[in-house]
Amino acid sequence: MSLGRLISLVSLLVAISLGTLSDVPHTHAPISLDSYRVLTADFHVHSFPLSWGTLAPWDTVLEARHDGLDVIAMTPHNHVWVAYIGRWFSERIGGPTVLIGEEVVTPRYHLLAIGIHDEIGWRQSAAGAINEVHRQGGVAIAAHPRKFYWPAYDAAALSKLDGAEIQHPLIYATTRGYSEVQQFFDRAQLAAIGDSDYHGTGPMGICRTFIFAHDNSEGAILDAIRTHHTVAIDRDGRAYGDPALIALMRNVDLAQLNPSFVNPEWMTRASAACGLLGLLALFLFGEI
Amino acid sequence: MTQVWSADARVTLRPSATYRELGQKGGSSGKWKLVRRPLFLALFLASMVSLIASQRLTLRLMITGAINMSFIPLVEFAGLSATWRRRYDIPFSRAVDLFFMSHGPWILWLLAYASIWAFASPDHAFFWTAPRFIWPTFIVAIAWSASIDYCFFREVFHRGRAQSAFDLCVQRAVSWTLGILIFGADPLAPELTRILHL
Repeated sequence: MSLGRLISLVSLLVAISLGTLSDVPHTHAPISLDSYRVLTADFHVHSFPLSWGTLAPWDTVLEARHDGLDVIAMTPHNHVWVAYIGRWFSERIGGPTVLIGEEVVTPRYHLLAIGIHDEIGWRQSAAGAINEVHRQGGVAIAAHPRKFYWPAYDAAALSKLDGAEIQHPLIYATTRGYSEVQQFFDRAQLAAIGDSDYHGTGPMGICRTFIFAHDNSEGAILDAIRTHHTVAIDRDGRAYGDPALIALMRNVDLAQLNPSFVNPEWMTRASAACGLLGLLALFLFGEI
Repeated sequence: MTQVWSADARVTLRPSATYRELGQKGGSSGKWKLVRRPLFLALFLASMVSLIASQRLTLRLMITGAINMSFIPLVEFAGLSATWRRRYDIPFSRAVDLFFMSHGPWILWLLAYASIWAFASPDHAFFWTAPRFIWPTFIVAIAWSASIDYCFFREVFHRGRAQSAFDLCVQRAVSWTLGILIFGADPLAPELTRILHL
């Protein structure tokens, strides 16, 4: 065996061993504040196939649990059947709570339909789509509302909308993006939502919503969004949502509720370094 | 150079000369030749899925990642099949083995991309992988990969320049269309409607 192949195989074995050993879920004890149960949620999650996600629906559920999320909404683009697979799996492993959702992708706006049961058509106005979401008993959230989506949200749509993403990974990619979602949020009375728009890149729930609900049932979670009992907090501690609820969170350890920004332990780092080294060595010297 | 670097690395850096040399060698065909490089590609993609999603290599994500991502070698097979001619070309298993050596630009691109997710904090990773930074590197990988595959058709299948360019387009049309449909078909209709102002 060549030296290059030996180095690559040893590196990969070490990487997989360390990675598998350190693959431990971030759990947190149930948090109660005042009369509320505080749940961590991500309402914008994509899976393989068809929606540009890399993880299978069951891995998506396991990853949500790993990243300390109590609730996720699986939101395939313009269909719902992948979300049903995720919920089926979650019910068999004891959580997290999986809501059936859809990211309604249209040429003029993107809308999250959460708590629905049938597909929402994309060839209709934002107000029409929101009506359809409500008819199915769900809630409608404006997805990453950048400026070019604003014209679709006319007065009729804004008056019916339940929430808007004020925290989304785009706020870390562009300062203009952050400014635009903030301006959209200020246009109407909306629930503050933090979502990671998860496609398999980075931790799920890097942006997440803190839900103030009475329990972790689907009905209680949807009610909390309808009544704007939500808080979203960015990396620097800026909080959005109901001021009374933000005040309640003042003494909560946020690192416990969102471990995305906690530095990984050495085993995770070593697994990544050995894995990358092993794969590079296999490509350069491996003679596969 | 031959002694140190793998054939895949040499094809990546000197595609024409390396494919000419490998094509003249002949070499064996057979079932193992047919699957070994596609299997390596599936293993590599599974590792990328795990690294990018969880910043580590875990068996859990690698196993299902390999199953999910196996559609990529399969659509590559389909694309190559559309250009291979039984009567004139080398055995299909040998053709697959040589063709799958051409993934070097994508392997290097994905290793760099995964390094960002593995070592940068999530907010910095989102910044450095924003479209304004990623798209130029993506276009370089597309062009580099296309130039290698063009050399494959020239040196291994012994096609003329125009025919090689045509075969490259056929291979890309088949494999990329199938790949995009499997990976992300659902938003395509509304996105095309937006782009084409329909």
